[in-house]
Amino acid sequence: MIGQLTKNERQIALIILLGLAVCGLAMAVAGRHDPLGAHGALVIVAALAGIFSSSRDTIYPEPTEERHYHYYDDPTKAGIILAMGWAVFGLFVGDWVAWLLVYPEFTFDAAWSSFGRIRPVHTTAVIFGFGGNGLIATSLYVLQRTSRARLPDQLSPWFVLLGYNLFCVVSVTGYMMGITQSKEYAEPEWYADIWLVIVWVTYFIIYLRTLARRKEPHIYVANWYYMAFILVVAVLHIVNNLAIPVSLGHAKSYSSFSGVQDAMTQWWYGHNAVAFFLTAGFLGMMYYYLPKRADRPIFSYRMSIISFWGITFLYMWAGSHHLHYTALPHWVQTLGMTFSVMLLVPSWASAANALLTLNGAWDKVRDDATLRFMMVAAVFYGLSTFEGSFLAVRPVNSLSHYTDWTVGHVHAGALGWVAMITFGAIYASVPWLWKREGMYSARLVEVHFWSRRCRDHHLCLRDVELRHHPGSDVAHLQRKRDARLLVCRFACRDAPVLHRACDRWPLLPDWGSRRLSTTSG
Amino acid sequence: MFGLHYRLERKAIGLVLAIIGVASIGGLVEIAPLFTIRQTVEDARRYACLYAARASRTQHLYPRGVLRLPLADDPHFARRG
Repeated sequence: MIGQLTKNERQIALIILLGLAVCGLAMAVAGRHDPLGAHGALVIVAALAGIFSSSRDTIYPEPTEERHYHYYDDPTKAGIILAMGWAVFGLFVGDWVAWLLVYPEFTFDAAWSSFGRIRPVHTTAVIFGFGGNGLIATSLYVLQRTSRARLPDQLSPWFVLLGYNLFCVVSVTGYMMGITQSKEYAEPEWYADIWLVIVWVTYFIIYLRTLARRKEPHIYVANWYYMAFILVVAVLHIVNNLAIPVSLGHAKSYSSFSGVQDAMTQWWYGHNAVAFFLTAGFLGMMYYYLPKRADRPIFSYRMSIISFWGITFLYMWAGSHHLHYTALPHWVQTLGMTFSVMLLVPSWASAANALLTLNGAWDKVRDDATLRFMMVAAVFYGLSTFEGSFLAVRPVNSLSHYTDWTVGHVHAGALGWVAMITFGAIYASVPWLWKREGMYSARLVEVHFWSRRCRDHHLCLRDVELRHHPGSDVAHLQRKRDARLLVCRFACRDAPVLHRACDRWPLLPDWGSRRLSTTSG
Repeated sequence: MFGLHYRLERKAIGLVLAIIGVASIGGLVEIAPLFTIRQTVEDARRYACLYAARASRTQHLYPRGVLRLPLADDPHFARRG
């Protein structure tokens, strides 16, 4: 990493790291009687690790001018590896959180492992750790290819990537220490929020500077979405996190808003974090990787324009559907509900555009699991957005709210859309980036695909099951029946589907059919 | 719309400004009025004296002798406490 920086960039990196160490020291001293002090120590350790690494690598000669003729992909490679690391961690914690519903004693009598603390660890690790790193990595890759321009410098992408991961680590460790703003998806406290603003503005500047150097007259559709993702997330983050700290030596802060204004601002942020972080960013990913992998042009340029501006405009009105039947004025709730239903148009325009792009390439979908990941992601995107619009209707919401239907909806979107498109993009990028012919094992990619499909299939069935019991105590229902349902459903429904699929796809005959026939028998 | 977009996607700054403009409308229409309409804003004249006296209920004001504040002129509110 350091070996590729110029001498000037290495000096700037050192100054930034020293500045970070000083900030960490100030936090540690000012917050010595507060959990803020622990985060100060963490920042010092991160800064010292960076300084040690950069001083050790100064022996490398300065890179040649030839570098300007190649795209700068090292931050993308590191981002993909970090995303995988966060995925393993986040999914492990998610599994733990799920087990806590059945066995509450799995907290080991410790405060840090209580449900209320590790649940945001799970959401932050998968959304911001896995999803965010995937977005940063792929956006830098896509930006260079679609603009035919190298990144403007070599230091700022590293600053964004590593700075963003420092934010994620501070957030996750903070929750376990009890540091939280108690705002969903905006739990990190004021100092982490300020740090993220600095990182995010740098990310935006990289994007603008690269676009300014582009050799293509038009900005490609994927970049519209990535731009919207970066810009709107910045606006949402800054407004929703306006808060006044108790003092500079305390982690605790109080929101600038109160009452209904606070609730509305929070869900304006919360819903649009889903819209612009988990939708717009990943649509950018889809608009590059799916046509590229299918080797087909996007089906309709006009459809992509309609869906882009539709999503950008309509999503911002929909946040109030999270506050149905609350003190929020009725007209605001009604606006949220109406715009949520209208959102179906641009959302399905995107999903249809993706699927119609595959016209003439369905044979590739059959043979290539990577492309199949992206195809299924588009299908799940269409299904999840339909369900979301439906759930936002007030009478439906009165049935679904406070049940696991909402949780199932979020997971169908997160696992079916976000994770599938990310894995598709990663499986496509890795051989291109590391200059390999293909992934290590095509069969393992197939196994991954079909095991994920089974899981998503089960998730949707559980969703249907919960809809049949809208008035029941869902948590109780789940505790009592979930383990049994998991086994029964796999044997009765998922396994035959997978079994037939294994017969259909010749890549997975032996392992799949032998194992599954045993299970179903 | 398509023509306008076609021109916008050639200019990065134009696209940035358009995204910010289009994305701001929803929030402004839904959130800004909440700071002004009567239903969602506390009556500062009524509550200021309570906050000033650090009292959560009206009757707490009697022993402190602060009932000459405007709140005391509203017997209904004082009775409700």
